[in-house]
Amino acid sequence: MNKRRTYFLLILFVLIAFVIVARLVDLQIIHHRFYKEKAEHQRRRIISLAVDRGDILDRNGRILATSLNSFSIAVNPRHFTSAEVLSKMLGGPVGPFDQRKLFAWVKRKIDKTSAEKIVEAKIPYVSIIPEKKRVYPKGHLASQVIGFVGMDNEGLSGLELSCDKFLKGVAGQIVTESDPMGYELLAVREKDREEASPGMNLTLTIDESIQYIAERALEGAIKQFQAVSGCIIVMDAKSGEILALAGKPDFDPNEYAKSPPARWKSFATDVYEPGSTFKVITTASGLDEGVINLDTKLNALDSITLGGKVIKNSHQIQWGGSAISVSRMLEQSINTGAVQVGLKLGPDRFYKKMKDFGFGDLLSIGLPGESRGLLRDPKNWYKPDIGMMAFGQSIAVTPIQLLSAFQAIANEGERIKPTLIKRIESLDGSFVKTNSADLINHPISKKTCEEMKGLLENVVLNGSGKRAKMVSYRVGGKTGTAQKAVRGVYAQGRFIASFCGMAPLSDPEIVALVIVNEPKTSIWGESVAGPTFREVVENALRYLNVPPDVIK
Amino acid sequence: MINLRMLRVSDKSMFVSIFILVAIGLVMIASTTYFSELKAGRDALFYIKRQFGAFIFGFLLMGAAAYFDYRHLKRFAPLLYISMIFLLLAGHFFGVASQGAQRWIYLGPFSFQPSEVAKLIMIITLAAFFDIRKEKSDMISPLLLTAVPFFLVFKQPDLGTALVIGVLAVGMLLWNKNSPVLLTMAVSPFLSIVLSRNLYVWIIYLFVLWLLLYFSRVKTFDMLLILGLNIGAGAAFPVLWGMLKGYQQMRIVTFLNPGLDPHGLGYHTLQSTIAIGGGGLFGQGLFHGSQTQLQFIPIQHSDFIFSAIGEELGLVGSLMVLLLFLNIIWRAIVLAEESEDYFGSIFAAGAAIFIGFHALVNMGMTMGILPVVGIPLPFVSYGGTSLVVNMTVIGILQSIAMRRQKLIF
Repeated sequence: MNKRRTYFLLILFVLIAFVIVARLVDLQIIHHRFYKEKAEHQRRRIISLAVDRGDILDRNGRILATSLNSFSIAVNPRHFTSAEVLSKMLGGPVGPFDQRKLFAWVKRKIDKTSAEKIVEAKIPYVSIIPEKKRVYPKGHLASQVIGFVGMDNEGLSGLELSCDKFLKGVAGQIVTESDPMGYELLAVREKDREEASPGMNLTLTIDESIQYIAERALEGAIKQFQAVSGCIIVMDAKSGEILALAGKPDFDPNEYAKSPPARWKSFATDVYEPGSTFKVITTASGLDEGVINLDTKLNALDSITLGGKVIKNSHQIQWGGSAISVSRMLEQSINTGAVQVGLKLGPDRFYKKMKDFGFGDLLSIGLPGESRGLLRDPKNWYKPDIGMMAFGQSIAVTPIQLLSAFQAIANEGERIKPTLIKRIESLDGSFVKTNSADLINHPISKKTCEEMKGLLENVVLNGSGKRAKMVSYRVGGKTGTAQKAVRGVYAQGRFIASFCGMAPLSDPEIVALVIVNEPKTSIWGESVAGPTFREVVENALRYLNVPPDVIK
Repeated sequence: MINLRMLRVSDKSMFVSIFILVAIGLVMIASTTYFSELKAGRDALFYIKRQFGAFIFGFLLMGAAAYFDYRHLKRFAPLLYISMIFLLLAGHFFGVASQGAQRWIYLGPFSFQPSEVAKLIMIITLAAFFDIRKEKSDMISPLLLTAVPFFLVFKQPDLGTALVIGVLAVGMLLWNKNSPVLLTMAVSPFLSIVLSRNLYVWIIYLFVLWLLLYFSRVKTFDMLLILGLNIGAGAAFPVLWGMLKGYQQMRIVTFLNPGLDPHGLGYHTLQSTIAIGGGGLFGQGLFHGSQTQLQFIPIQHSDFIFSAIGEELGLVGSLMVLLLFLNIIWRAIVLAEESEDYFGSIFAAGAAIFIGFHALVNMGMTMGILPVVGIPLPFVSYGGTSLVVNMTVIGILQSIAMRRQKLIF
């Protein structure tokens, strides 16, 4: 016999065996911990125990969103056989179920009396599980701010989404071990049970009454002018707190699925081209930088050509280049006049001022998906841009940014961070987070503010803002009529009418912005947004018991 | 006739090894099935009873095979071979497939897998063939002899068994030929399959191979055959790959990257590897392996039983199982060396390859170093046909052992 092949075969097997031993040592000794942890990790199963979701309250503690006890019906599909009985009691189809599972929902969140009937019927393998149902007692009110939750009480939109981590609380959990199908929990291996803690309450800066005033007025304006949509923001001029944030058309968060998703979100934090309201920013910047003063004469040209682009006025009035004051430029909303202020500032100073006013920066008021707007760096500006920006084109801002800039003008030059959430507080008081009026910066001086107030009052007394004039309060503000840009081209006949202003002017308490999107019967900010502004702000001031400052 | 003297020269350590392995197998089958069957409301002892029944039957067959003079098998070889083809065809037409692979034939209350029986018959057939031709045997005839059952099993489709039959044929052929040229012929095409992915590397490899063969003064015919096999393997691999079933391709793909699809086929390897790794030095204890008891490894009691051993008995238990197999392989190879009868010698070599290939490939696949090809762990895995066949092989080995030297009589 030949020994060579014997050794060959033996050595071959020993070599393979050696590889196996090496692998065994690698798995069981060297990487033992790694695999042990991996095994533990994949068999761990966490069962959440329902906890109360925090309430959402208005600034005076009135409930906007809360949780109620409700009951859900579930069955064990492996053994459940009484589908017909249950179906009769619930008045709807039951099943079919996946027979392999040990748990299946039949109907979620039914009322107590129906649940009690099912409890009394004692149908085998049917369980009644107490759950929390989110309810919004005020229905549509502030729905775009509050948002809504899904079936498992997870925030899906609005503050319910962005503040979900505070509202949901710490779900109690049982950690158990399970097989790969996710069931057959071994009770003997139950690991631990962490104590649940209910969700935190969210107190908003919104005042339910002012919110109601704003929503009612906005609805009226949209109806009257056959507009597509609209938005009103009312802000405390001194603290930056948002008292109302209305958007229409909106939805009922109790039945959110019945409304198209476009209605779920307010465009208060989305971008738009502000149009003429932005002339206020241009003028304030010019005054503050000293490139103009109240006596500066501008030329009311019928058109200006900048880098090949012809800029005209929007109102068909022939000014013929006559000399006008800065006040008259704002009063009559003369684009070519604003362009001259922009040119006097020059790109760098104008850019710095706009930046100081907060354009192009996130304000982070707390709603999901807030835009930072679009303020390009001057080195990326085309030649006509500076002129166009001076009257609110070629720049994208959010309504909340524009209002925040007005707030600085109303508040002696102090720009306060706008807030929507006043306080986040756990039930036991162990966690409290309060938003106080945080000063962001001083974009303009107190002197400029006083000058601006005079200019803005003149707009209301003598110019395009006449219809915002109030009986008991002095008002300052500016209209805007912006042509809508659709895919980079200004769309014919589609406008955004707006009015941004403050009152009472002697010591402004409120700044507010009214935006009406695509009004049909009239397009002008003056006639569409002006009266709405007056209605909302005058009512709000009365509601807040602000003393009148008009001397009759 | 058998007598006490013969029993004395029987290989007792081989007997002891398989009895320990079967015992470990029964315990591990209990561990992997008892509680899950109990929970499912079925007979908790079902698998244990069936495996024990198979062991009793296998024990009787082993005894009979040891008693029976194996040399008579030479004469039966052609008949056995024809019966095997018939059985495989019967399995093909009348058999019942399970788990997408092996087919079963049902005879009243009994059922068996013809492909498992085919493995044993192929060892006998090839041993008988080489016994007649001795070292002068050509290469084509034994390969043709193997090709028929190979393709019948491959078409079942049972990749694992086809592989075993192929390896048996090539292994026994090499053992018979005892030549480096043949070894090159057998191993080099596999290198071609791997290297042919990169054309330039493959061409350089073929050139070096040609140089080696040329300067080794290998006969022109052999040289052309080796080069032809290499080029054929490299070129045909993509074609053969296309012939594999989707799940077979996936097995190989997921072997190369088990993290790819944690709930697909790589899942099996991944979970099995985690189980073995989690076992540590001494294991988590019988009936206490978390992966095993929570059924993370589907049908663990058959091909993946080694993962339960690794998890519950740890490195110590795994090494013990490995050593028991090495002992059986070693005894079989020694027997091949010592047997003066050529048929006995080559049968023992075939048996060593048979058991060694099963055991080592099975362990390798449960540890994620070889693709999952559906090969059971001999004596340990649940599976009656496999156990009976393996014990019969041991019976024949004992028959050879007791008759290896004429001096004894």
